[in-house]
Amino acid sequence: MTESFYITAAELAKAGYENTPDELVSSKHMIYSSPATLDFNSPGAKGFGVKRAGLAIPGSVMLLVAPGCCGRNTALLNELGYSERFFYLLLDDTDIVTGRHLTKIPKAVKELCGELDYTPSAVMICITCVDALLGTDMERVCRKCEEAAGVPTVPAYMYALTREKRLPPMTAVRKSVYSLLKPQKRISNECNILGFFAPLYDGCEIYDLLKSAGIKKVHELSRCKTFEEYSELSRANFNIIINPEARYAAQDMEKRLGIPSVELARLYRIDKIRTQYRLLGQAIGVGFDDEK
Amino acid sequence: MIKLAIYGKGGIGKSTCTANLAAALASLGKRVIQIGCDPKADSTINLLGGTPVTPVMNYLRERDEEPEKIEEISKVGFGNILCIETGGPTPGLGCAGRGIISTFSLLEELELFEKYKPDAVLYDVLGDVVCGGFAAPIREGYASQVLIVTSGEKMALYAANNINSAVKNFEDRSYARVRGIIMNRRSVENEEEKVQTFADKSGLEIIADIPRSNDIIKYEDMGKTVIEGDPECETAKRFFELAQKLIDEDKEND
Repeated sequence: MTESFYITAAELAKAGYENTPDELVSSKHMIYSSPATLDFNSPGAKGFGVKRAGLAIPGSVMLLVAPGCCGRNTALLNELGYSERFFYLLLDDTDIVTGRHLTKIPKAVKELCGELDYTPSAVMICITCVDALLGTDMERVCRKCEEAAGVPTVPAYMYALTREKRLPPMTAVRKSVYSLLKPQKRISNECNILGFFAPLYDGCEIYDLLKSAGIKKVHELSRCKTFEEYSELSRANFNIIINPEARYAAQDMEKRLGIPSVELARLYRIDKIRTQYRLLGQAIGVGFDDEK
Repeated sequence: MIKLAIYGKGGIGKSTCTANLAAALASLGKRVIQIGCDPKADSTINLLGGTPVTPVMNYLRERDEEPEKIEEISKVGFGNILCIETGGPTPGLGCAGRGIISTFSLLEELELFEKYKPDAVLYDVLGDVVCGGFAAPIREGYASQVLIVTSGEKMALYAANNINSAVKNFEDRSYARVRGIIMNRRSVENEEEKVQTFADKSGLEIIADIPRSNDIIKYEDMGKTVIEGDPECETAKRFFELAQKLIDEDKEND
């Protein structure tokens, strides 16, 4: 499609869901629209894909379990300084058809932890689409890894084929990276910001607004330097979701850790942003002074 | 909650036993879900008066999008049993095991258990634990107990032994365990003795003895279980006994 296309909301509503024009169905072709373009971050542009995101837990290492062909593109991460934290277990045809990988993964994790001159805080096992067909119970494999190596082990799924589904890889990996948090006493004037794997820029207005509302500490995963700092995320009183891809992780945190969440939409108009901050203030029971 | 997976050799009567057990549990006041995990997609047909539910794989294939509601991929049958079939790929293509995994993920995303709040969930699984997909029903969060259906026929016992070994292979704190054997009689000579010998050797209990009966065929021709067709008959009584036993055990475990 090279021609520009538009449809009014009224026309769209009248046509009904079943008759959504192909131009608006993302699986039919590439879409370029203003907000989508602003949001889009190609993995090829060295943004955060499942592998880099999976390494967000400070002190963790990753074992990529994949046939050689799908592990190759990970070379990019080496240039970003991850070469010391990234390891491979390449699967061959026999591993796949016999299920031999079930025993190989715990052995590899044990060997990996034994070779390192430090104990990693966690091992992320990242497995690719091939596993969608194998049906490996990765939770169980990770338990075996923990028993073998004595290090917490968490699965991350790089299932590119589920990208258009309800639980795409970048949503699932957010749950994985918060899954090692343990329940603890929550502190009323602390909160988390969930959404991205890089911190908001230091001058972002949300920090001042939250500070003016009495929030003493705003946690962000990407600002955690140590596993201890990471562990503090579970003492937050509430989560602020700034990317819908973090919603699933927030729901899991509410279920496991009792931390409720409030979600902010990505907006581009100043008046709407202001209204949204006011609503956030109401939700957490404070009034924001946005006149300064 | 009662969470059962029913395995056994192809054609041994798994779907018949599962549907009758589901119907018995429902008749005893339990809220039941039955999930057929077989590409044949005929597990629940006799709970639905002979009119099958659209299998999940068919839904996905035909619409190329996921359902938004459980109602789109389920039907309510006898005793308000919620009936779901995973179905399978186009014959000769695709991956049936993946079909089961995809269906389970979908049911989880649709929050089936949270919304429906069942007292019992029964998974009727194709023949053997042939690959990862067919082990999915015995994973953590799904079935906690396995029932193996067998007759005294040699190949049925052979399959039962394979299933028992496969489930044992996965045996750890979160996986299902084999609860026992449903002996589905096929008029084999010395049938009870043969099945009992296998049970003793495997350390399993024969938890139910289902007689060879024309009632089953008669009511299946009408799209019914014997529980629905003639709840007073001997076969129905055996299923009621099994259902009550499972209910009592579930109460004890609570």
